Amino acid sequence: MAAPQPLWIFDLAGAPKADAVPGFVAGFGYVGKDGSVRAQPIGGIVNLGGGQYSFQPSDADEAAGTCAVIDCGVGTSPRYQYIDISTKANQFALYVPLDAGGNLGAGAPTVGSYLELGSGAARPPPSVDRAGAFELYTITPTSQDAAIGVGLRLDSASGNTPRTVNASFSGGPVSPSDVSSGGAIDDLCDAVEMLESGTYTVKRRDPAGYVRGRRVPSLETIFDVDASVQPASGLEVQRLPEGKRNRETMVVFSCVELKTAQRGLQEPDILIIDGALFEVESVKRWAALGNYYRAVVTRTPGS
Amino acid sequence: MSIRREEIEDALFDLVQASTEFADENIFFSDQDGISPQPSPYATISIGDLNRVGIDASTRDFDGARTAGSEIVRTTMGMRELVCAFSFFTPKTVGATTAWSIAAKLEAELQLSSVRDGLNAVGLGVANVGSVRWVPKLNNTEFEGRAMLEVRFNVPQGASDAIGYIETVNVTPVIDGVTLPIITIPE
Repeated sequence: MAAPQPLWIFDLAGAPKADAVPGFVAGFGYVGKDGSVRAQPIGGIVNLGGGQYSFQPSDADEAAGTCAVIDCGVGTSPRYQYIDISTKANQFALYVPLDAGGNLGAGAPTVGSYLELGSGAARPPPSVDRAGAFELYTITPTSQDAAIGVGLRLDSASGNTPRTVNASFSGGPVSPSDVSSGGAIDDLCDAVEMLESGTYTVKRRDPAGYVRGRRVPSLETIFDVDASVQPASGLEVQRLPEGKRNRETMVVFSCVELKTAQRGLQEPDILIIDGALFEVESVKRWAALGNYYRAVVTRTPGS
Repeated sequence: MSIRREEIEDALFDLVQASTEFADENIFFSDQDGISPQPSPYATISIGDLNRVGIDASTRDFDGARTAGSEIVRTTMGMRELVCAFSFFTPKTVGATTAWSIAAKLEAELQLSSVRDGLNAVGLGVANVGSVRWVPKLNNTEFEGRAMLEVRFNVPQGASDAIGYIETVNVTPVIDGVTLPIITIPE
């Protein structure tokens, strides 16, 4: 049975508030990581007395990974609290942007640091994913990261509070594929780095917005990745949609995940290779079995 | 009066939003680049062919007070038929919230004067409301509800131009080396 989720509510002076009437935020108070609206817990949020409250997620909520955003009501501090509901096997961190006044805001956070808990060594940061069209963001560690144990620092977008949010992942199950016969975790990042052909700029784009039915360009996040870029084989080209087979096509190996289009969530990443723009068509995620990603990119017309 | 596309787009957007009560980002004009913005439900508006109806009328207007050369203005004005298609997509294919129900609601509401007033304000007159077509589709391996409604609007279209006039004529009295007699026209 899924673990009940505790919740402490305090008044503006910092004292436990026993008479609060918390509820899930309308619209996105209880949604899956993918933004799908989920049935709220049976019985709602129960007042346990003394400022402590609780609600009971279902096993399915826990297995799917669920985001709970709670409005604790006027006269509470913080007014909005958020809880990620998951297991050790599918753990993730939830981030809800709050503006300077502590009200629900907008803007994706960025990963400020992502370090191994034991050694302090930097790990390739996971992506910040948006839950559907909602202003909810999730960060999901790889199974290796969860097994090793990592600390995460998220930096809020300008104007949002608090400036940074910390989270950690640990205790994730180690699958046999994570561990080689020698006992060390497989990491082919080193091999990718040995074969890297350069550092490339990536433009990551939020889904395009629509204002009165007209498309407006989305926000871009620009970062660099070290990657091994190689010409694609004829078979790779054959697998593309017919209208794209005459485009220049490359295969990109990297330790950072590149993203392809995801309906309503993500425009495909744009990779700049030798000054030309290449769009990510598909990605094979070898994160669990080697900590690398293999993407197929095609040159955009006119670039 | 010439057609102003942006005003028509806004009027059609308002029409669909009022009928469907979809959020702003769930209604958009078709044939724009980019990935689908939303999982269903959503609506798309396609503004299509513009056909001439009959023959345009032409009128001339004279006003001597206008600046020289623009006293005479010629105007052509005619009626056009604008073909618009509304498509609705919903996750359900049965029940009250299907794309079919949404399209049927809009089809009926187009007969209301309160709805037509908003369209008339930008020159759109409802000429013909087509059938609600039920065309569910496969979205990957799952059925998705889809319904279409084609509506033909009458919309006036015109253009005008200052056509100018002959102000002076210079006559050369010599043709093929022969000097013509000069005739003085009495005033």
